[in-house]
Amino acid sequence: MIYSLRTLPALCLGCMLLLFAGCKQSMVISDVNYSQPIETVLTPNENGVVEDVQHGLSFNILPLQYAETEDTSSVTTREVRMIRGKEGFYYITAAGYSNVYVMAPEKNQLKLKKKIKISEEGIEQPAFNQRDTYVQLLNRETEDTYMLTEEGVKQTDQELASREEN
Amino acid sequence: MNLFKLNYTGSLLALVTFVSISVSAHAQQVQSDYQIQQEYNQQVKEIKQSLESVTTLSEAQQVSDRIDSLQMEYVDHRTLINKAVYPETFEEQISELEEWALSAQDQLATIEQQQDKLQRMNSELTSYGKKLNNLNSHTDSLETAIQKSIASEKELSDQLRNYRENLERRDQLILSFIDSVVVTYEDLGLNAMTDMENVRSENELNTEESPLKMMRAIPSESLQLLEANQDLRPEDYLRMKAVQQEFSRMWSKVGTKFTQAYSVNPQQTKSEIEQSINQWEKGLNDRMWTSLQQSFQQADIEVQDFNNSSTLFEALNTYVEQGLTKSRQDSGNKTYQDYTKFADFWNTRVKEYWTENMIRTEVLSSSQIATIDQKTNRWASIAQPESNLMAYLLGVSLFTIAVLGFMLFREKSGKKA
Repeated sequence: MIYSLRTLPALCLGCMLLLFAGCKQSMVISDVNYSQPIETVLTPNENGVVEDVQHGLSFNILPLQYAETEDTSSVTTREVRMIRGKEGFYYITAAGYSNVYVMAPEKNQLKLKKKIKISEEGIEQPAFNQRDTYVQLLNRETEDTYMLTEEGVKQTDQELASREEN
Repeated sequence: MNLFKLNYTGSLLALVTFVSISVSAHAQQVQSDYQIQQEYNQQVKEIKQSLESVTTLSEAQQVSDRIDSLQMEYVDHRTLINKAVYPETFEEQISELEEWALSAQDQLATIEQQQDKLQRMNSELTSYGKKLNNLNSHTDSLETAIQKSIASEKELSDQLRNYRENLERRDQLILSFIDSVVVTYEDLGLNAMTDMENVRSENELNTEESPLKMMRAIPSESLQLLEANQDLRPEDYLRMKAVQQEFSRMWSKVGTKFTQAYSVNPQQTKSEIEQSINQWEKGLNDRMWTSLQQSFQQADIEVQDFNNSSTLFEALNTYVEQGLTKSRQDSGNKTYQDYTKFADFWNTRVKEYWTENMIRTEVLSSSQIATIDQKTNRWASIAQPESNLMAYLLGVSLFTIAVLGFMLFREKSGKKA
């Protein structure tokens, strides 16, 4: 009986440790590929809201427009082009924008992960293509292409090609 | 100089080829996936629209060629397109388009064949129309000749016979026309008429030589013929009734499609022709029943008045039943005369000349005719006066026995003496 009373605290401690260990366990699925095969082209409504019905996403583009033009008095962005990269970040730009905005999805939010500067003048005819390890930005006017990751522009495809040639 | 020109042309061609290859290679490098997908979808949509609206075999062939070009143009992008058109695939979409194109080609080939058949039928019907016109004018001239030749009885009789034969030929021709229409349209399939409406212009079908013209002409001309002639016999009216019924049946089968295919205003044309058919039917019925009634009167057979199939049978049945009753009550010569009058008319006139078309037009059914036949036969056995032959035979036999007895008696008396 004495032996039992002595071991009781040790038994309780053991049980509590097991309980805590169980609570801390969380399931993680790795190597998830979020890449969206083809970019989405969306037209904002009068309030600046775009809705991607196919992928179930809706947000207001006025913060992006403000970042580009510092004007939100009216919706001046005609079309928004958006693609989701392999890691799950959204790459967003529009005609005339100088930057590509890499946005991280959070609870009811899209949080700026990286603002990638492409050109001072802005790209008049941008387009995104999904590639194996990166997102390709295409300037359909100049036919320039850029290799984008969430870190920024790695290099242009032309640079990559010339390097491979050398 | 020529050599220079050849070299110059060759160099230019090579340059153009090089430039176009470079441009296309570069363009392919920088093309937007979204744009590729949009252009592909647009082309698929256009091809589908073209397939829905093709009207000739050559157009369908062109669309087929376009599908081949589309496949060749986008085969390198099939991975991208598979993602864009998921759950379908590029190959499935191309196969589907090819199937549509093949089916459209088959359908149009069938329609073109049917159009050929229709053209042949049109010319066949046109020839019927010409023959009918010839017969009509011949009939008209015969009618005039009949009016003029009243003076000579023989000539009049000959003209009347010719006239009736002409009417018979006309009716035969109309029946052949009806057969031709029904057979051709059953062969074509009535639904095919709707397809053909879509691929043929209204003007092309609505020609003066179209069968619709004959369809209009037959009822109205037939009614005119009826109104112009009072000398027709019941057998003529019964034959005409058979023609009218066949025409009416044919019209109810093909009328709607026919007017849709051949008339600018199908509803109105259909209603006009149907009105004309109804007038023809009414005019013919009135004359036929009057003529049948008069025939019985002329044969001194007093049947009740009738003006339709059931009252005709009732009148005949009542007449024979009453004759039977009278013959049972009185086996005199009067009832026998009534029987012979009726039997003679029934056998030599009705059964000889009328029954075929009576059954065909349902004026009397074959079972009704059989009933009257049976009752007439029964009437015969009752109405005939009783024969005295047995009495004569008995008398002759008795007389012979008496003579033989007398002779035997005399012979015996002679021997004794």
